[in-house]
Amino acid sequence: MTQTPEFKGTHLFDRLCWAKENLEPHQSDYRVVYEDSVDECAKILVPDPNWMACALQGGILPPVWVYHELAKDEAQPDFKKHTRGYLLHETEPMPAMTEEEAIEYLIQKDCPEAVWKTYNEGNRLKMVICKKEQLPQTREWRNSWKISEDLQVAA
Amino acid sequence: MAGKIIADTLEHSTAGSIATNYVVNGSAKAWIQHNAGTSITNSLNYASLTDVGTGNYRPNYTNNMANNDYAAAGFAGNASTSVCSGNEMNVAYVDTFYRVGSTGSVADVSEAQFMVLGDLA
Repeated sequence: MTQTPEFKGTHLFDRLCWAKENLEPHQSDYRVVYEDSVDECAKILVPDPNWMACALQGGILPPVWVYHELAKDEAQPDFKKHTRGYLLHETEPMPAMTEEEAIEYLIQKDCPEAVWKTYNEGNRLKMVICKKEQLPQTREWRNSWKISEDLQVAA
Repeated sequence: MAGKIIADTLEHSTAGSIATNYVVNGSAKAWIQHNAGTSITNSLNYASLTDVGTGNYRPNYTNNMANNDYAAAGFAGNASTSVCSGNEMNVAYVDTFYRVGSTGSVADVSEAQFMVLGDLA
């Protein structure tokens, strides 16, 4: 297995370039289906194969709380430019994750917080982790897709 | 890292020279090729892709952009007449819309390609 260099303090983009050259992309079968508005169709989160390789390898990606801190800055009304980008580069990287742990990380990074924090509250699920085979095989009526009751949570 | 060269200028023996900040500032900071939002073929600096709806895809960065004032370009590899527009430029993602044909209707495209230039956080 390829050994990850000591990356703490290395710019995240440089780490991603290293991963691109040295790691085999991993196509995940997992998909995250979520609804963040009753007026819109279900959205589907597709993991990036190069990112997934980084997550499985370990020592490359920053902890997810770093993205939450940056999101707080972005939410400020006077936000113009990131001044705490160093958090991405100088925080101790995450150790190797399993694919399932990586999906949980990705949900907390790229799904709206209002969805993943309360996905099972209310009358129906707002978010489901499934396998891509469980999604409709064609994109017919894509703009009316909703989470169906028979879409089971992946094991 | 294996090594580092620190230089402000690159000089070719006959073709002239170029400041290295042209390289740093002028290189794509993220790019992606995907199939109608359903699978990602290849990429750099993206963690995921959100399939928002027909012809509407949202690539999410791994290394955020520094600000919302960056440039992007994209097109569809399988459509003879296509336009890709970045509707919402965000430091964490960008919403892209693919429009095809003479009417400019939003539509799913295979081999959607997209790249971004700007400053990283």
